[in-house]
Amino acid sequence: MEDSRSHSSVTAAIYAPIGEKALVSRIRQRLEDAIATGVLAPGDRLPGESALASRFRVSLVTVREALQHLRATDLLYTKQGRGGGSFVAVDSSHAQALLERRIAALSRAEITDLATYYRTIVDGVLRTISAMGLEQNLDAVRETFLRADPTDGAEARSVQGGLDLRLAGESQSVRLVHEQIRIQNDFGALLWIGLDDTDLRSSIFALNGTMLDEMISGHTDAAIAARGEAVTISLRWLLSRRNDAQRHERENNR
Amino acid sequence: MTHKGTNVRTIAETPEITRLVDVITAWHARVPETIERVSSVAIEALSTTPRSLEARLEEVVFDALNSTSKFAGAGIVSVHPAVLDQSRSLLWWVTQRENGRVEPLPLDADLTELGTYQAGLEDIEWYRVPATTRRPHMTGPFVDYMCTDQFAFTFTVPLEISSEFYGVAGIDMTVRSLEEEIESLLEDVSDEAILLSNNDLVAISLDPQFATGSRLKSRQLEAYDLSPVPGTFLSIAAPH
Repeated sequence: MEDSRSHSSVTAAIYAPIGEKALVSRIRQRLEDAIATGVLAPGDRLPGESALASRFRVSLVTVREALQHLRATDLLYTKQGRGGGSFVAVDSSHAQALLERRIAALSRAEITDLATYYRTIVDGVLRTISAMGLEQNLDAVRETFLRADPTDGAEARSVQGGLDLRLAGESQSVRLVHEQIRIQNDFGALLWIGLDDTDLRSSIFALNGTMLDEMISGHTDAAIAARGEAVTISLRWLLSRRNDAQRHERENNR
Repeated sequence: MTHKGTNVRTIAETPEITRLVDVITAWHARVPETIERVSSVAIEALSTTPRSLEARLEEVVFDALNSTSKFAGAGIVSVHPAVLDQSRSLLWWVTQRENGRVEPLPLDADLTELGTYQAGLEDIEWYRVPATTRRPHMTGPFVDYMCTDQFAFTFTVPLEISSEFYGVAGIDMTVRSLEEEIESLLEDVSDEAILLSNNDLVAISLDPQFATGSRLKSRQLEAYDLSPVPGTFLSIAAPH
């Protein structure tokens, strides 16, 4: 008979799956998302296999397996010899379909939960910055943000990702930075899908500006509210795209 | 060094303070000469054979990083066309300890999780301040999530060729490397002593209410006597 302690919820957490097995699919998913949302464009060359392995901090075998999957689905192709390597293969319509499939595969509950998590990290980041008395550091972050002038959704997502990551960095918390990087990699590209739409893009970017202004003038709550609104706008768009994608799939299956 | 508060009092020079100052000075001693080596190699390469820039920098940086365990990274950062024509804007290497061996690893912002971080290089304190003041600067402590994932100080100096600004040369040192050496010495000064960076930023605080990386307001600073560590950007603070 097992010791009763091993049944408590606390000890259960210790033995929760670490997720090693999921490495290949997580790498594949991340690259697929980058291709689907245009962060990696057709013709872009990926870093070499060993560079990727050291970046992802996984073994070479894991990287090779993930790349193999992407080749099999025609998302990547390989060129041999000098100047060779793995290249992004898809044309834009293929990327579009990929994105639709990815969105349709998520449940509504999953999406809202990911958005809650994303929002919570940034809330924590903003509160920490003000508790640490570091609001003035955001002047430089604001300058960089205002200088960016993205012309399409993919560029705008890069700007958004850069902003969110730098904010996390300003909180001076290693763990918050790590969580931000993780949620951004797992969900950022999808969450900010609304940046594809010109009007939504300008609303979201205006709210980013408001968030930074409010932070700098010491109004943390107003800053958090502005950020929440930006996430909600994009989330709504993502959910409606998901409904479209699912309807599309249903019709095709008929 | 100047201090923000108007009526800042200086700590009396006790043997404890002197010992602490000596250790901090020794910790900092090799910073200026090491950056000078990196920057003179960069300037030399840029003014004669720009093609050799990366290889020559790599050599001097490897040497510096292997010479002591105190340095967590070193290199140059530039957005000058003369550098960008040859290579990347971040020519920076970080120490990666594997199986007890130090292995310098090139920092490749294009390959970090979010390459766009690079877009704002010029706005980041360790670049912006030397670019504006044309003087050496110490940034931090801040979380260096581009390389060490730890609290670090980044020391940077302007890279100038015939008074034209080319970028910065610098090194990273972890806060931990300093903390290990001075923690008990700080305790000797006061149970609530703080090591401050650039006058008001908390580097190491024995008082748990102040986190490393947070900024003290001038009203909070009034409760402390300060003692600057000559030749550094650090000062020791002890409550009156």
